[in-house]
Amino acid sequence: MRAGLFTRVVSLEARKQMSYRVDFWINAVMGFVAELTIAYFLWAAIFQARGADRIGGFTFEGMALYYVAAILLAKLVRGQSKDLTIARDIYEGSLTRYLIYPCSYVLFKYAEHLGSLVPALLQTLVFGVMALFWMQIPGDVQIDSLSVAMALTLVVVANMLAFLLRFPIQGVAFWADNVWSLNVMLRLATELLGGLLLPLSLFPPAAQAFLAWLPFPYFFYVPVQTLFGRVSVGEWLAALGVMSVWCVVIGAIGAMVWRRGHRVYTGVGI
Amino acid sequence: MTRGVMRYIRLYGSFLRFSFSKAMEFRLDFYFRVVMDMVFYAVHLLFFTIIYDHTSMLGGWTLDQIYVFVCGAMLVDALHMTIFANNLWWLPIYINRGDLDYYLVRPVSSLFFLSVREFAANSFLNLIAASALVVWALGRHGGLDPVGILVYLLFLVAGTFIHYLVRITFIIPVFWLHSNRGLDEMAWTLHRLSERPHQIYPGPLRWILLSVLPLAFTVSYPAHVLFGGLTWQAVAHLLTVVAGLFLFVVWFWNLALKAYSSASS
Amino acid sequence: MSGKRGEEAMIEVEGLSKSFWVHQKAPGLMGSIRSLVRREKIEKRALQSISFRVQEGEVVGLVGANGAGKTTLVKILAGIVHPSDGDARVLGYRPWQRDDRLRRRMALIMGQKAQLWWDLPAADGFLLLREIYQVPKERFEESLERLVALLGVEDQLQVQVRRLSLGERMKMELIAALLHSPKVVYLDEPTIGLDLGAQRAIREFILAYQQTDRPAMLVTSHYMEDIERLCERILILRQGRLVYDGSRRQVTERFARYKLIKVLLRKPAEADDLAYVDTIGRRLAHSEDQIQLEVERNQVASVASALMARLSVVDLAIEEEPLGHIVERLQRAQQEEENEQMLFDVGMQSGIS
Repeated sequence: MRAGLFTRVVSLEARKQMSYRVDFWINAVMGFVAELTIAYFLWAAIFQARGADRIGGFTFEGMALYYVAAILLAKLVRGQSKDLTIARDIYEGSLTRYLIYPCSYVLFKYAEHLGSLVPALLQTLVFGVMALFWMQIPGDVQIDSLSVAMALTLVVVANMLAFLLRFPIQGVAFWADNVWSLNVMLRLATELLGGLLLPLSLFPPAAQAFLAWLPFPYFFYVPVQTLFGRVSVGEWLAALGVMSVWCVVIGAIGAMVWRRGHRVYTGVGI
Repeated sequence: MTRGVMRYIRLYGSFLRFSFSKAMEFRLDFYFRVVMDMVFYAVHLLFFTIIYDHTSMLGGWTLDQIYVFVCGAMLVDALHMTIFANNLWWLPIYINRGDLDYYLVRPVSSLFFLSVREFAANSFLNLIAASALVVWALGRHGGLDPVGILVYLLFLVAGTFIHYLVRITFIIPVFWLHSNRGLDEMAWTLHRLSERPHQIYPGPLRWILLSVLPLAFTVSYPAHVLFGGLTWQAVAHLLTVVAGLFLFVVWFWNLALKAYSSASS
Repeated sequence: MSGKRGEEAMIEVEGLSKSFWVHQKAPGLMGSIRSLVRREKIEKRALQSISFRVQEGEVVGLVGANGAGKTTLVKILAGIVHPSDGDARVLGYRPWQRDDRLRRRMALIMGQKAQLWWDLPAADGFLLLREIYQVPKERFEESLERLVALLGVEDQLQVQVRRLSLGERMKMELIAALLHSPKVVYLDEPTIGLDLGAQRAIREFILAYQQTDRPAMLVTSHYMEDIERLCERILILRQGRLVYDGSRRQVTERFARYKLIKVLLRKPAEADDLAYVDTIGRRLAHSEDQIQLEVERNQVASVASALMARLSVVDLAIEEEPLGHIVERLQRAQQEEENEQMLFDVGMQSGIS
């Protein structure tokens, strides 16, 4: 697939996403505020009940900042995570078009996926800057250009991993009529095990050690900790290594599901 | 009166039969749903388990109490998924496609028909699983008064109804807006407020959740009553909220239908 | 444009078969519950051992009732569906391996399934296709201009595809499919649901493209007129089997049992005249001054002279039975066995014309 096609698809999708009406933006703000509110008061209650000034290595301010960063980075990592375009392509039969065109379906979808990230990018930028202005940054959080660059690299790879995961999951649509529930399942598991609901440092040490081998922590927890300057370059490289391996593994599984699925694909209405 | 009620019960019976045979057509989907809800339950239980590793109290509740609360939330979710969720999912689509006409000509309440027509038989196993979890949580807690437990369960049923009423309030504007994308997301986001004990929220927000946007009543308030003791005020409060919200939804629905019928030709 | 008719076949199909597994469920609630654990599967044969070849510049009509396997065959040859058995080569490639070199020279147009992007104006979709097919800019603009002018859709290029009428959308789909000058073109119901004007425009367009680019084309259509205007050769499918492969005219010669006699009258026919007409032929239509009769072929002469004698005839025309009637008759289940055998033999003899 040539660069020309790739950029054209990215920009078309970005324009489409940006043309959504006001409710989309109101909703983004609402969602962000509501999620943050819930986390904020939950932790206010816990810190109060506990009477401690650090839980799982976080001060209360640090915890609040963690949720801001995790919620925003999650937008970048997951993109339109409720999106079932691949599954829809399969059961509505529009996959047919890509089977006929001499271009790679995966790259086409990846270009669309990147284009659809533009609103998330804007939201992250706007809310992120606002948060930095308003919120107290505790002393143990060190956000500098190096940590930002390292974190963004992780986000890019995590985003690709999240994209690749769609293929084995949504590819099930070749056989099942509804993969919506699989998608929700993956989403829920990722939110807990990836550190969006809770920082993973709260998990028992054994669980943390085990999780480090799975792809989940690298979606939210590790990028946020990297952003906060708490991850050394060595750990960062190790994280990239684990993620790359998972990209390969998930990519291979996806390719296999896809190959077998294509054999049963009929393009709807034979 | 009783004959009218009987008619609706019989009608519901036929919905049930129909949806069971439909659900079985989609076998894989059925299994996926079962597994999905297991994951959902596990995530919620683990979430609070991990939090209680670092504190012994949250909003005045112990771990045992929070388990009763979380399992109650799962029961409400399962009830909602089985009875209402599918219908609410289709409703905006029907409204926008103009398919509502078929339902308006039928001699039954359109709100009733459209809200419960599609019983989600594929969530039925989850209803059983969620009930088992509630029993487990209550047993784990122990020492609860049977009457209190019965009241808790009744309150949860009312909570499911409130959950449904809140959700449909966010769907009805589709009659005018023709898109529910934003509203639906908003309803889900707000729903998440009810997944935590309402005691953790500060005064004004808690007041809202106990009155105009009565999300606290879905699970948190019932659990609060179970642990804090039943009072007449609590029952009165709940009944007022249910009745008020229900009347509001009926009024809102009829208003929307009027707009619908004057807009379509 | 691209030279003489080659002897090498562009589409070669050899013993192609396709079966599907269809689940069956016992009726009723208990049947439903039981089916959760165990389900019966039955095999459905969509295509059985199909063989044929198509040369460059040839437009072949694929004819058959619903479910005869037309769409399945097209989808296999377009590389969307894998066959269960047999082999096929399109431009030398197995289509289901989806080699880019094949896909760049192939097009599929489905009347029932939009391929253009709904949210985009057609012009944007075309640009995207230019990138996908890597058509050089100049050639792209040249062929776009030509195709757009042929179909007369200059004014609709900037309109979102979803807002176009069915006919306009189909024209855009055709342009989209032919922009890269494919050498193999599959048209599955290209005129379905269109009004007569649009149908005619699309047929003329297809013929014009066939003249200039000389592709191999496979056309399925419910409208016999499409087939009659476009195709010299037809393939008839019946329940997944190829029952006829030969020239369109030969179908008429060999299988037409009737001829049509159209009579133009000086004055309206009386009731007893009509009653008489009904004794010598099957009346298909009649109006003030016209009668249409279906008559067995060997009785054409005697019926014609009888009509001349009895009625005040201004003009009389004898026509072949329309292809649609023949094909429909061939599809009918009553004559299944004998016809099938007979057709199959004839089809084999006449072979590839």
